[in-house]
Amino acid sequence: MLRLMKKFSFWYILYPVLLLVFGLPMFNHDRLTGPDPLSLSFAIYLAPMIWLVLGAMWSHEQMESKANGYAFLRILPIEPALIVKAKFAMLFVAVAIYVAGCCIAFAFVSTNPEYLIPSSAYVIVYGAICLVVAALLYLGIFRHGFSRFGKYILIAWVVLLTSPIPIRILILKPRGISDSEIMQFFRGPYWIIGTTACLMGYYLLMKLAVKKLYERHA
Amino acid sequence: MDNTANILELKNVQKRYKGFALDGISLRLPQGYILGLIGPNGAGKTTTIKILMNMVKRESGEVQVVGLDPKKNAKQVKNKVGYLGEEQYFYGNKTVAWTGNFVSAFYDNWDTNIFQSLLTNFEISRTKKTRELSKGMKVRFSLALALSHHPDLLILDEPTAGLDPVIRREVLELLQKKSKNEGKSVIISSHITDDIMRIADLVAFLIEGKIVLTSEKDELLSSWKRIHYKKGALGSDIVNTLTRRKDHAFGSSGVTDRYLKIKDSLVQGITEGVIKVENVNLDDILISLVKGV
Repeated sequence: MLRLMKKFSFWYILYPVLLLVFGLPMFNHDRLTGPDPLSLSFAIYLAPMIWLVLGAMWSHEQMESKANGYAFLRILPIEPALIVKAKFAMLFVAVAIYVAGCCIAFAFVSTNPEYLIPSSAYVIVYGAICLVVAALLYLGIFRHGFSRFGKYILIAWVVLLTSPIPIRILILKPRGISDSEIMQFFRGPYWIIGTTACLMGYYLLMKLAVKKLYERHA
Repeated sequence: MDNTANILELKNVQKRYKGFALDGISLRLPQGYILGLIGPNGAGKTTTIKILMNMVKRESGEVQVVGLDPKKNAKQVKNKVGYLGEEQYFYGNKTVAWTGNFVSAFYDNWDTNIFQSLLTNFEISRTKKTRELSKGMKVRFSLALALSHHPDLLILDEPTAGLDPVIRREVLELLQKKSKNEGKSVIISSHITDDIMRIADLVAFLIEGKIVLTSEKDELLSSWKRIHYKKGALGSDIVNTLTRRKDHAFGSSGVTDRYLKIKDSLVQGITEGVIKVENVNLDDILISLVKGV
């Protein structure tokens, strides 16, 4: 599986690394102004950028489709399950790189747990949700093929990347929900439960994706 | 041949698509032989080959490839089979060397020495990107990949389609050498009957999803002949069994599939010069089977 993961790694490594590089100015801003324990500003800006991982997924699948990667792999003694696992593993690695990078950056801003824990938790939860969404999109690819389903990844990518703005304007602001109230969720045990649920969902969706790929091969 | 173990066996295999059905085909290939699967375009050759490689799932019937059911043991089957498809797929932006290295990781018996020597023999540059390879080079490279893990069986789907005569001949000679010298079994599908004629020991004709004829090639060519005859030189019982009947300057002609049975009755006509017997090739047999009378 490592050989396959290595083959699939290019976009899944490139995107999160580029994201972290582009996120650094924000990191420096928070560092200079000093962290506000009641604000998640740094995390709030960094976390939604994780949706760019869907871009890595789209780029990877487009390259595979162009190169007839699935057709090539099919003639080799590789179980389709291994292909799916390798792709899901790389997706996980991409999200993990970004999340870990963000958490390290938060620690550089402040090691105060009041700031560090909710900020990190915020990005972790975002990462876990991103994995579930990506897994659902993979189900679509394995069921319909990239040539038919690829456009939906792009649509999801754009919609989710821009979603924080309408969420703020249309949902949070009219209800008077502030950042500090959002932070409360990330101080309690709920974010751990939510993340665990998402990761379990991701694992189950991977199993389902294996089934879909087998069906498609049939 | 009957006592030889079968390296490949299909029994009553069915697969249906919209407008096409593989209709209960049965086939067997004894170890060490080359089987040519002949049929017109759309007859079901590629579907049959893909079923052997578990790239298409059969709906019913039994399939054994190297003693295993590919549906249940796809990975093990692919490990023991060298496959060359109609189209050659590689990661185009990767080099020949990278591709060989990548592929090698998935085979239990990969032999780097064989792979390297085949690349040298085929004059394939290791540093070239696979998208830069010509059609002929891609086929040679695929063949190098297919042969480098000591396969017991080679499954080739139209391997020579689109190749120039020099490379075509080279590929066929290599397959023949592998079969004769190393006892490898080969199943090769083609609508180019010359290729099959050149290397196959056994032939199977697949027409409209059905195996209509299987035989040893030499036996087939001894049974099938074209008979030219002057009017009245052949009895109506024989004339009625001829296919592809034509009238021409010499008289009439037709193709028979029972030459060995009727040959004695033709001797007198041949001596008198009113009957001539001519060999047919696999093309003639295929056309007779497809078009009949």
